[in-house]
Amino acid sequence: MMITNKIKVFRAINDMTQGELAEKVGVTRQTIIALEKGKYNPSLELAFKIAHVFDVGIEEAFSYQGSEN
Amino acid sequence: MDKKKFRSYSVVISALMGAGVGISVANGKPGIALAVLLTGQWSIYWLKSRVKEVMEDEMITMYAGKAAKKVFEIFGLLISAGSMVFIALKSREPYFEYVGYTLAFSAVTMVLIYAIAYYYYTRGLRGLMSDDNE
Repeated sequence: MMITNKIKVFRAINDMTQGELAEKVGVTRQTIIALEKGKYNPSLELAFKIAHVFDVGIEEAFSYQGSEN
Repeated sequence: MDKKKFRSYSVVISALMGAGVGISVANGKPGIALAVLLTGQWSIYWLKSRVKEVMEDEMITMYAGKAAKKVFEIFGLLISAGSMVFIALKSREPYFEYVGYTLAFSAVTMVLIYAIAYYYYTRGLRGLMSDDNE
């Protein structure tokens, strides 16, 4: 998986459930579960929304593990 | 309304639609069958609009799009090939020709609907290629 995230960590820090986060960013809980498990890469808009909910920069919540090639 | 209730109502409406359409067609009344179909579909859309939870999001849309594309490719290939086979075998059974043309027209209709849908969803992207040299 090229894109990793710290959604679970930020959820724990903010004492937020997956359902609450899903409601705040307007997606289903399944999408939050898939994101946390690294099974789905979010759109740029969703990534920004999630970062905004946690009040952090997008690069803090998500990171790209690209290869040099 | 929550998702669970919506799903339950949808199943009931779909079952009623199936029964209604089946009975109407069996009795030779296509108008009633069409009315039942449209009413049922409208009811489901109306119920869906009453659901307060998020029913579809970008992940579901993405996977649904991928699945639809795959269905389009596989089913399109199958009915196109099937139509050619049936038309080629018309000398064996005369009605094979009708089956073949029905499949061929179905394939063409499907491609046309796909083209219209693709044109609609990419309408905002038109003309962007001409900006390459700017």
